[in-house]
Amino acid sequence: MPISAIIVLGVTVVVLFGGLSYCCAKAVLHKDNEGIKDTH
Amino acid sequence: MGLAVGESQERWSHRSAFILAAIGSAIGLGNIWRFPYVCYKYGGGAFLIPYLIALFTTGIPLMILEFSLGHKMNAAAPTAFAKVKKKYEWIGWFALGVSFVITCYYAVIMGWAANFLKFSLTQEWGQTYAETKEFFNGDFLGLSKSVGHFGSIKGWIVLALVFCWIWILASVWEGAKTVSKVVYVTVLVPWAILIIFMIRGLTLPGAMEGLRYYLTPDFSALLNLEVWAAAYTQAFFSLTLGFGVMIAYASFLPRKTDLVNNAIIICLADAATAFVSGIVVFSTLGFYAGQESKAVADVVASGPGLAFVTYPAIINALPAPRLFGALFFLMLLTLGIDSAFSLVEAVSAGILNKWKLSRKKVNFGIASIALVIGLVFCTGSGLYWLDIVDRFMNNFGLIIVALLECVVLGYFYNLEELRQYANSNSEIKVGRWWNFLIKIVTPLVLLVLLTYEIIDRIKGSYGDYPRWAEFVGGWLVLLLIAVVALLMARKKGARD
Repeated sequence: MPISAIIVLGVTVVVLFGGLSYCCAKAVLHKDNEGIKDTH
Repeated sequence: MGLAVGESQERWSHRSAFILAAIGSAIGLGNIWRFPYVCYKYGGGAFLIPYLIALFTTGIPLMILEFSLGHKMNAAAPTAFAKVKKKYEWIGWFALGVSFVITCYYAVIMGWAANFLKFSLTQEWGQTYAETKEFFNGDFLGLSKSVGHFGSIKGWIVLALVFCWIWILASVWEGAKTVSKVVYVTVLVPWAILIIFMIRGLTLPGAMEGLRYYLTPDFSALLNLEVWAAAYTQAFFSLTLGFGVMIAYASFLPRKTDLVNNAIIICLADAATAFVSGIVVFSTLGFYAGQESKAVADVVASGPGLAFVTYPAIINALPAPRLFGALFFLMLLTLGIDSAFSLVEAVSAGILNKWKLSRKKVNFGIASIALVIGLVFCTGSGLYWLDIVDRFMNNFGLIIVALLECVVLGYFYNLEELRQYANSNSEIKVGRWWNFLIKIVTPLVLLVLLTYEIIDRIKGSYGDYPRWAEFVGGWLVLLLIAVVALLMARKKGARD
């Protein structure tokens, strides 16, 4: 595979999976992650 | 505090259930059979640049908009729009009308997948590509020579369609409560199978050649406006936006919830699944091209042709074809089921918000009507009709809904209030740039896509189908949805 394809692969993986991991970690640690509590 | 009539009474069992349900709704057959091909066609790896830009400038902002609206109004699309202003209620019904029509043929495609799951065990689809093509178009679909020749209804497709509708009904039987349980299987199972296929694909000879086609960037493509249009189209269509699904799903969330982060997770998960699907599809295409002594460009395909013609031929060439065949079609089925039941849930939530009715009766009614309409797609010309209706629902229906959403909420409602609402319990805050994206960028992009499509339809009928077929399957269906939406909005509900 050409180097440009490997760079594209690397950048996409970092953006998509890095972003996803960051957001999921934030969600797990979120103080209001109470889920079922209905506060209506 | 008690819930008023016209508000969503349902709740997700847990935040993860909501995230998985929304991801399941977004991830569908298009992630497997559309994204890889579009990426390959429009510049390979270079396509990922406009795609990611489109995701961040249109996909995620629109997702935040739909979540904020559904959650703030605590209602599905029609009532949510009615709470903005009564005269906008029809927009919500129009979105649900489009959803309903899509469900009618989506369930039929699932029926095909269910049949092929059975065929994978016997491999009666033949050995070579020519045989699998003949099997799908001839033996299986009984494809007629033109759109006007309906032929007969295929019993085995109807049987599978009934099975799929029973499955869909069971998945939404008690609304969010049942969906909360089902999604742990229907989202995690296809992901697991996708990973198995990725490992299998990457370890096949010729896989790297396939990936070279998929990922080698052609940066000159970035100067082509068509590539950007394709990127925005892909980012928009893939996320189940404009269906009213995300509005309904957000209304089932508890009050204190992180809307922005949820939206980003769902959009990134959808994009990541599409990207991984590309690796799966192109690694196996590379292998298959090697086996057939052809170039990857000669075997590449998209849409039902990829899933039901090319892939069976590829599966034949794999070691343990029965196992991988069954896994592949199980993956398609489980990918499709949560998209299908999310559309039903959105329609049912819209009706239940307005009228005091039994959920089970409403769901059963939706399923029965959709099943009967779906019979059209089980005929010899069903594939043609499916193609026409799909094109119009996506390229007109959804774009119109999303455009109206942006205009109504951006210009006739306090968008800033909605932004602050989204931020109120979110760790990742959206800045004022979001208002700009919703008011200017997204409507502009959608308007360009709509204009492109209108010009295309003026130049010639879609797919060279006769004009009368385009009128019946496209314009007439859209008109009917608009009329029904206006009538539904005018009807008095329990809260009026």
